[in-house]
Amino acid sequence: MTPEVLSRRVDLTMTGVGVVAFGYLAALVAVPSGPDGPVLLALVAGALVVLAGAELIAGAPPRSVGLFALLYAVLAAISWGLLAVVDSFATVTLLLAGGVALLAYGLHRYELVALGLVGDVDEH
Amino acid sequence: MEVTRRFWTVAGVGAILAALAVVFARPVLLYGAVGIAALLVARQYRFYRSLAATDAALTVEQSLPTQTVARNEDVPVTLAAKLNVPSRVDLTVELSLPLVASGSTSSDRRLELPAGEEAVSTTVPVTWSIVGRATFDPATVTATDPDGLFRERLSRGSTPTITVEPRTPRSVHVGEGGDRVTAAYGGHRSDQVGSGTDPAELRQYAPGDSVSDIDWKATARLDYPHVREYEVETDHRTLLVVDHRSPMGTGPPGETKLDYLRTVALAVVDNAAQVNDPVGLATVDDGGTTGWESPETSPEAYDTVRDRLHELRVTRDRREHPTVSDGGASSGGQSPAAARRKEARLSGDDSAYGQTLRSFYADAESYVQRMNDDPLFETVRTRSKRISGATWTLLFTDDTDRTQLRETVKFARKESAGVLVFLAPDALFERTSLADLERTYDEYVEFEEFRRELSGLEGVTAFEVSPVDRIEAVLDAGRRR
Repeated sequence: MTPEVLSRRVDLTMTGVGVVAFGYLAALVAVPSGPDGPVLLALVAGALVVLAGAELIAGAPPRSVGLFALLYAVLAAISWGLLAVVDSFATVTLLLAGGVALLAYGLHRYELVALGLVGDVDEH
Repeated sequence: MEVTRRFWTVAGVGAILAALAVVFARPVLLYGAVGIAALLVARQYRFYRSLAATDAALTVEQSLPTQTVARNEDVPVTLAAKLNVPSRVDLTVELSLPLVASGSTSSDRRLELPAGEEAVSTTVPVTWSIVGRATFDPATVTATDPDGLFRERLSRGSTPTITVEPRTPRSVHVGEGGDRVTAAYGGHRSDQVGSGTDPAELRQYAPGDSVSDIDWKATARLDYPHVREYEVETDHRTLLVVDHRSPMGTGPPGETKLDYLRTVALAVVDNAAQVNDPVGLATVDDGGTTGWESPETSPEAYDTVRDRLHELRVTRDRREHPTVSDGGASSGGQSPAAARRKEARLSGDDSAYGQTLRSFYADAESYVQRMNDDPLFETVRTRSKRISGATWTLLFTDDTDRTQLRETVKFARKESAGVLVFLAPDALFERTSLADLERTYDEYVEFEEFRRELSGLEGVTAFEVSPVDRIEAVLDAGRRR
């Protein structure tokens, strides 16, 4: 089955996301205390391969896939760093969520300006 | 940028992983949520880049074949979208119609341009129901990433303007026998010399001439006193008699006989206003005279006449009105004078034939009474008496009742300095499709004979008034025979 046929028949994005989600849940079940060290690294790398592979099969340009891989690596590194220095697990989660939301919103605003979609500001 | 339900599904999976990570205090799940978040942000950036490239390569055009359209007329509007390079996003381009336009469904006005394709176009008929000026909004371009996570709406494309005009005659033919006349009315030459502004001739000074009339330059040049004479200018006192009886309503809405004649009458008023000629107006319907403005030269008087002409509507038959009475110049209608002559000739004939015919010709007086009952004739008769001095009478009517029109014109000629008759031929208005052109041509030939008969009367000139395209089509049909 060629990648084109596969991408038409299978929802690669949802499949990739599902596989990653279940993979992490399965790892948690297999290691109730939570995988650590090389196992955790292998798990993150596996998730990266699954999601990047799904992107490539779906026809995403390599630069885009590279950007995703970089972003995943950076966010994973930030997560690891935050977990090392911040005691509260909820705080780390909120900080990461806020950072990602800020990044996405900044990109959204940049797109509006770049494409000329920002309306006139009412100064009154 | 909008996000779709599909986006929220993916984001929801990531959010659940993050929530479970907090609940179970297991960081491993957080790495899964971070992976999904990275995927969504990377996709968002990719969508923006693809959209920016598509926007730079996209040309959207909304075009119209004309800038002016008559009310309730269909106009094909073309929507075309073209990409210089294939896009990585799916595009939907929708024609944005002004509010006053209608006529096609939303799906008809929408174009699909999937990722990879470069050009697409559609043409839809659009009807314009409100008179005025309308400008298109830019077309709405909706871009969706191939995976359906993000969507963006852009307004792109040309914004043509269209003027919707009321249905009025747009191309009026005024002519004789199919030949257009350019100046049917408005000349002012009097063939007399005296005081004025247009130089007429130079002649030698004669005893009795005023010294102030001497042209000193000519005198110096010719070495003898010379007097410059000027052409005397006269006013054309004009009475417009406009018929708005029920037969004048023949023709499509806004392009009836009355509409065409009104256009000509308004042109006459404008011309008269330019040269300051007095213009009056009498309007006639089946019940008699419906409006009267005596000839005057004030700007208000011209405006009043124009307003009256604009307000004029075809009135319904207020009393029994004859249909096309004689079917042409050669039919049975005859003048009272002819009837009297024939009656006199038959007076000595006691044969059964003579007696039978005499009873018909004895009807001349009742014929005169019948003419007096004709609203057009009666209007011309009564209004002519109200105007002192030489007046030009301009009749605007059709040829459905030729006998009575003939008598009206004859009467007007006696009472006026001149008569111009603007006739809307019934043949050129009654069948709008012109399907049977040969039959229409035959009827037009009959009309032309009648028009020539009127023009043959001393001091009378008759013109036909019709749509240009219609008379050209009929004359072409005649030439092809």
